[in-house]
Amino acid sequence: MGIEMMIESFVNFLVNLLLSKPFMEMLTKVIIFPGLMFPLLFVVFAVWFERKLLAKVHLRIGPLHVGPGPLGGLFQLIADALKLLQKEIIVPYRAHKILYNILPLIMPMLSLITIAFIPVIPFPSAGPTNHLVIFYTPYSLLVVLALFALRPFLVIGVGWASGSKYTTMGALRAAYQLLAYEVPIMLSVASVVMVTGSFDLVKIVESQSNLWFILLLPIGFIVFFVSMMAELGRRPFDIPHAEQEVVYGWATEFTGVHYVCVMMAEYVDLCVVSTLITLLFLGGWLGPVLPPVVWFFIKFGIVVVLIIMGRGVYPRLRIDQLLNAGWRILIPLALIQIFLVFFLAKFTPWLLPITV
Amino acid sequence: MVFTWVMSILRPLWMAFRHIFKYRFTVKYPYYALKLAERYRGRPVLDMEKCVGCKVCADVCPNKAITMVKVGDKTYPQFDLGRCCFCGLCAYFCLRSALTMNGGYELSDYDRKNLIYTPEKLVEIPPPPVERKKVVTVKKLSRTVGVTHG
Amino acid sequence: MSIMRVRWGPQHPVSGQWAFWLDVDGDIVVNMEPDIGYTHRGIEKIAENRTYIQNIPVVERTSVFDAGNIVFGYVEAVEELMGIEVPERAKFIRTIVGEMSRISSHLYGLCLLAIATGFETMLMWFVNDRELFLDLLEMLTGARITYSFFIPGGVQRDLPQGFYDETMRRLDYFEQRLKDYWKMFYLNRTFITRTQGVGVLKREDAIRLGVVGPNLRASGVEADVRKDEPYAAYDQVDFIVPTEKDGDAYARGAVRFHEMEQSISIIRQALKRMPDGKIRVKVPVAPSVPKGEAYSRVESARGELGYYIISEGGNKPYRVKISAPSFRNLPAMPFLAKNVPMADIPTIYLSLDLIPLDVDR
Repeated sequence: MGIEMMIESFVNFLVNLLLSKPFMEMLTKVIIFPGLMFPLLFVVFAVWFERKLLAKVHLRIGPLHVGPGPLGGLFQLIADALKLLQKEIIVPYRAHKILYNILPLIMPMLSLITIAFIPVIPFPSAGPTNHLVIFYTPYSLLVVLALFALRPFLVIGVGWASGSKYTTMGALRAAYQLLAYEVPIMLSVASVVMVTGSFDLVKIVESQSNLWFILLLPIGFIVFFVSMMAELGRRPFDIPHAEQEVVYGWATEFTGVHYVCVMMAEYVDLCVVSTLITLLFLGGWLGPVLPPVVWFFIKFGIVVVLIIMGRGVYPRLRIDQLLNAGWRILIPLALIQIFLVFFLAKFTPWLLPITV
Repeated sequence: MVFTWVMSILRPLWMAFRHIFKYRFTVKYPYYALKLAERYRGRPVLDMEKCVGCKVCADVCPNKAITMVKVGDKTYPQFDLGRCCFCGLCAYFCLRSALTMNGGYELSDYDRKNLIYTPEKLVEIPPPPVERKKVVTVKKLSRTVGVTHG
Repeated sequence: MSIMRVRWGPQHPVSGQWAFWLDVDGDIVVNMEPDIGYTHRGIEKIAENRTYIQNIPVVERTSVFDAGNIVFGYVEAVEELMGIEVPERAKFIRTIVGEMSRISSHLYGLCLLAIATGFETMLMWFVNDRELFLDLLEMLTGARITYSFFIPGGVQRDLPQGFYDETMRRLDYFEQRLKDYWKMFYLNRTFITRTQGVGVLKREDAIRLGVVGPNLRASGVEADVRKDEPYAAYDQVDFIVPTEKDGDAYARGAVRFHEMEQSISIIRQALKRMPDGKIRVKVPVAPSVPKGEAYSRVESARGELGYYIISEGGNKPYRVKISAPSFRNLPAMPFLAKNVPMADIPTIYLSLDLIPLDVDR
């Protein structure tokens, strides 16, 4: 009698928990949008879109066969990933066995964790804020940037653990590039934070309801955009992946599962960076007529198209020209932007969202 | 000065963007094929009525790919297509115009012995791709595309 | 400072079909030694065992991309040996084929410069535009790359029907595209940063090393065989020889670009001024050539090409010596590769337009 009642009350408790609104909402956020499904589906779509867009710029056809009729080639990434997953994993003789096997699996995890802090659209939710975000904190921008700053360490670790001197050299160059472009990112974000007054991504978007920051801080937008392209490793800042002395840079020795993880990390990073740019400078989900989801995806799409087009339009820069551009051109521009914020606050305070 | 610097970054972006809406140059072979010019040099094709067996083609061939064989009581050329370089000198110097180079380019096989074309095998001409539609029509340029037979 | 010896072998993403040894200190290349011979086919020896007409497909495969001008020199030398004079119409047709071949070779050479700087779009667009001229040459000669169209005594066939209109249409289209290409590629900030100041060859060094072709013209020396010793119909058309003063990789690319514009105008003038007449002088299939020797010079797309043919009577030559332009440009490569960053090495040798087929023969 007692045991049956206990079991029944336990089952009641579970059912109430699982079917309650906060739990279903958390499940949707974590798994569907903006959680797990959104970046992974974006990866499949972005690989196809990049290859097709570049093919159209080059006046040819991209991938064509694997996929539904007019969108031919959409599932090409899935076909390639299935082929790669069944390949033999070769560990080089001089590699550090534990790090070589584990570090590439951590890379997409780090990029996916970053999505947990980014709010995407307004949503009447049961959490501490009325927006669709997995884990809300008033310092979400700081957390996202800190997680970005962990990437150079993974790259150096992977390059050293592969055991060959070419990958170590390639990893060190990649680390130079990634660390050099952290500073302009922080400075241009500092100008946004100064205008808004908080690190909260929700408040940053809401304070753009009068004027988007791309019009208020144009130099900051350009610095942030170019530095983020360099952080991602996109052409024209392509040195980590497309060096001429080593075939694939710091990730040359990977086959099979590790290669899939490295590639996936690159495209999930693209998703995260585009979301950040739309939230910080383009006004997030704000817009006149259409629902906020549609506005978010339109702005997100425009940023993704711009980043992808950069691959077809510019050649690759050399490593010292790249570092020159980072240290000598972008940092002074970001500092000029910060001084301009002072001028704006003094002479035209009605433009800024908060008054000092 | 600053203007040219900024334009030198933005103008390539605009021009590449315009190209997205243009035609495409590539042809989806093997479903479609380009129509060949009249003088295109494919494999040699023999007209056995006109040939008299004068051996000029065998003398002129740079790779010695032609040997003369007896068929019935006349001699005809036999080609080793593994050695032929498709230069067309045999057809040009043939005294009776019995050799033409109309044979197409789809000649692969699994066995090297099948590449030695006897005179009877040289006679047939493969059918040309049927003219179907023009894929590329830009103001001043057009490439005609046809469907292949294979 | 420790020097590491790196080999960029024949199986490397950016090198051609030749190899070189680099002595690298950190990122700076200290010394470079080329290692040629991977595509040596012995063409000069093969040419000693074939008759003069059988040699034409053999000699043409020396450098496949520029096949029109390669055979030009051979045929001029043989005609000088045999002492025959080519009719006027054949000279104009040879000029047209030579210039179209020059355009397609320059487009390919600029593609290689694009690979070195990581510029895929330039590669794709230039290879697409080669199709225009390869289609025209297919209409005229029968093949797209290796024509076998010139014969000692003239050319094989006359212009087909509709060739004039089709050529004029395509030349107008290509001229418009060249204007777009100048704005898109040569005024592109990243391309300028990547190629300006790289591999600077000064005027005195260029003359001393014996560099030929557009590389010499990019260093400020105005030397072109078409103007110095005119052959075929080049004394009856007007064109200028573009030169630049800087001598870096950007200047070499710009010289090739302007030469393409000049070639368009040469083709147009040759088509308009073409006289009527015969297209060849009858020469037997296995001609017997009197004893003697002849040297002829031709301006191919990569530089000056020289043929030295010795004949001892009979119908096979005694010696055919080809002086290929890429082989003459080769000493510039180790000279320029001192104290440069390693990423600049492909830019330097692909802007000099060194094709390993030409170097090895």
